[in-house]
Amino acid sequence: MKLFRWGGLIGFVVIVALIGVIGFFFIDDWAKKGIEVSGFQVNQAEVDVGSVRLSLNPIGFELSNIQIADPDKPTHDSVLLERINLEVNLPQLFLGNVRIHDVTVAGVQSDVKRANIARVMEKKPADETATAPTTKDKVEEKAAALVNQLPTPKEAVLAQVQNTQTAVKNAEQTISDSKQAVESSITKLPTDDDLASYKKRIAEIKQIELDSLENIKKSTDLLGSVSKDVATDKLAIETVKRSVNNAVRDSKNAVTDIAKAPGQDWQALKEKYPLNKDTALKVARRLLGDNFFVRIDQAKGWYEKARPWLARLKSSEDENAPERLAGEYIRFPHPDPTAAFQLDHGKVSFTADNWPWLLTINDLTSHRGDFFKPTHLLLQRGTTDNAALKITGLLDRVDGKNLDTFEFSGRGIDFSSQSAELAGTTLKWVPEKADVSGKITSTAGQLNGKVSLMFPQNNLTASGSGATAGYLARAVQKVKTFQIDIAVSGTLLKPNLQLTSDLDNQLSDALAGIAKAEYESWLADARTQLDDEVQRLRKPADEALNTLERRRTEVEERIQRFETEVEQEVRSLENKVKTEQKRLQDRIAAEKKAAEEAAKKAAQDKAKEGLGNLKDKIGF
Amino acid sequence: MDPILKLLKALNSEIGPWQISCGGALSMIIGFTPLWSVHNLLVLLLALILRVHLATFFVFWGVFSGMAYLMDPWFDQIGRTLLTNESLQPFWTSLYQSDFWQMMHFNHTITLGSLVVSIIGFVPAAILFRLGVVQYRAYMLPYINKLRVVQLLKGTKFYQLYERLSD
Repeated sequence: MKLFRWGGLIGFVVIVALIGVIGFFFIDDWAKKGIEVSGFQVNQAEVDVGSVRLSLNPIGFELSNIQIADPDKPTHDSVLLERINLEVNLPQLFLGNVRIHDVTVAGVQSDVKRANIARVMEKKPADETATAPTTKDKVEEKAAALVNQLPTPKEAVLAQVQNTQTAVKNAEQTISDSKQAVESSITKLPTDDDLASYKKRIAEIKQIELDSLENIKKSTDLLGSVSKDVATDKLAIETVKRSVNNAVRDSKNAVTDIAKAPGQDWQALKEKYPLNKDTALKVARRLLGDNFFVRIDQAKGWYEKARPWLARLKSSEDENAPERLAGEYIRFPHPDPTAAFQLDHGKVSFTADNWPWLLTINDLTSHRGDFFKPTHLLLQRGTTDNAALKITGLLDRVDGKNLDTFEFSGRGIDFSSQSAELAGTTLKWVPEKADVSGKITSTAGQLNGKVSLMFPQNNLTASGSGATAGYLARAVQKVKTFQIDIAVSGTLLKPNLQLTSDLDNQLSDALAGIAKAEYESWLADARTQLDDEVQRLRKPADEALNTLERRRTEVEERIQRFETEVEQEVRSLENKVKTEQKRLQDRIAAEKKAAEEAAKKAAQDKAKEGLGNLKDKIGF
Repeated sequence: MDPILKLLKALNSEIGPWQISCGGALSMIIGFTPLWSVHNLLVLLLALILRVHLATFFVFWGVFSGMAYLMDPWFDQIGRTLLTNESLQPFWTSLYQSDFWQMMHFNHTITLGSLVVSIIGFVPAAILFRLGVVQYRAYMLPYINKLRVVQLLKGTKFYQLYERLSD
């Protein structure tokens, strides 16, 4: 039996050759259709390729008139590429790698009207509703919460005297309660009739002659009765005194509280209407914020358009894999390694803003790592020897992490005029051409860096009516040059941009000087208004307190009269009666003693006389 | 249907057992390894120019391709172990310098793992196939021919088709 089947070899060669020939003749159309179909899937809108031509020396393709329709505006192409020349590495294609040695893109135009309306892929409803708020919206939202415009001093004071009003209300209530307490107590004081009655009773006592013990006893009894009544009234008087004193003391304290309240109101008013560095910074942000954030939104919009293309490029390795488990290509050191997709040199030139632009890309690979060269990017506005803007990028992978570095340098960057309404004032900015410099790094998707914009001369004007307009106008006149720094952080998809500027400081300093005088003047007016308002508010309370104090004086006078005309008179009479009583008792005692002495003597004399008679009889 | 009928015919005919078993063993390589690999062109070429039984080759290509889905994780593990083995690094690195070897996708874990398994298993598989054919013809074929079911089948259109192909 023969070992070989030569007919099989012939068949094999014929089939392989046939495939090669067919491929050579039809590869142009296949590539054209392939780009259009996959482009439609990725772009969500029609992608048309005018022609694709295979060239053999060098091996590559020449594509012309590539129209990428705008899915949001099908009447226009978002990008029109007039010509793309690709030089590819054919052996690497057989290895499953797309290695482009050189690509040149020329005649790039954007937003070009199409001859016919493009087909657009139907969007899912979820996509329509997923509209995240733009940065500009956020800025607008923040702008709504900007500086409080200072109201007139009177308006500010009327809206800021709550503490004083409360204190006055409390004082009025306290004084009213005190008045009622005093009036209630006064009814317990001896009346004029009582006083007359006392006087009458005292006069009656005085008429009694204190020449006998009977009269003295009678006077003492009457005085005791009067003293008892006086003691009762005196007790009532002490109660009234205490009540009146307490009422007056409480009222005085309440009025003292009124004096403290305006201080609290004043502090609150100053806190509500501060003038400090923060408010000046907000003014500057309001002035500059829109311009920058609108540009950032534009950049993000372009990135969103480019993202599906980038994603497709990155996932090309996966899509080539069969339905079986994908496996992995293990890479080894190589002097000229090739990734699944690799672009050695790319050049895109186009005209925008009346400037020639050039984008060059070197060593762009779908696989980044130790075995691959870092990717170099350069975006340049102007010619190489007279570049107005240059952005260089270095996309590398270090220690297993993607490390991308972008450096910016440029001069004469145009910024359009901006205007903003602030506190009834129109702020207008006509910037001169700016210089830009900066560096941004992305480590594993985390951004970090700073871009500085230097404005060598600026025309800032503030117009409008009112004090605020003049106030801002004087401040912005002092600003001639300033720098804006944009600190970048966050991630590629969600960058955080922190805008800082020495304009803030300059405006702040200018505002601080100019505004301080205005503010102090406003504060002085507000203080006067507050004092007047406090005076007006506390007037009823002060009058009520005066009334209360007059009432207390009346009470004290009545008590004084009672004490003078009744109590002292009664005490005087009591003393007099006691003195007379003592005098009489002493006289009676002396007379009694003298009588006893006389009786005793008479008895003794009589005894002596009887004894003499007896002796005579006995001596007889 | 045709390749299956031809395989049945081959089993029941006088075709050499080695022709059938080599066809089966070659199909194991092309079935186990990823289809779009350059070495499969060589396998296909061998299958065409060597006098192996082509019907067996195509039938078992499908069978082994199905098995490959289940065995891919194992192939991946074997390939990865070999490619990351420290002592083999100089060898793989030297191969990596060549476009030819890169074209062979030797650095792909599943390709290498499945190729190594199928090459190592080629001879044992061929022997097992041959043993199977011989044993089938010696013991199974007479027994099958006596079965009532087979007798009934011989009266069907299916058998008539088989007969036509035999001619």
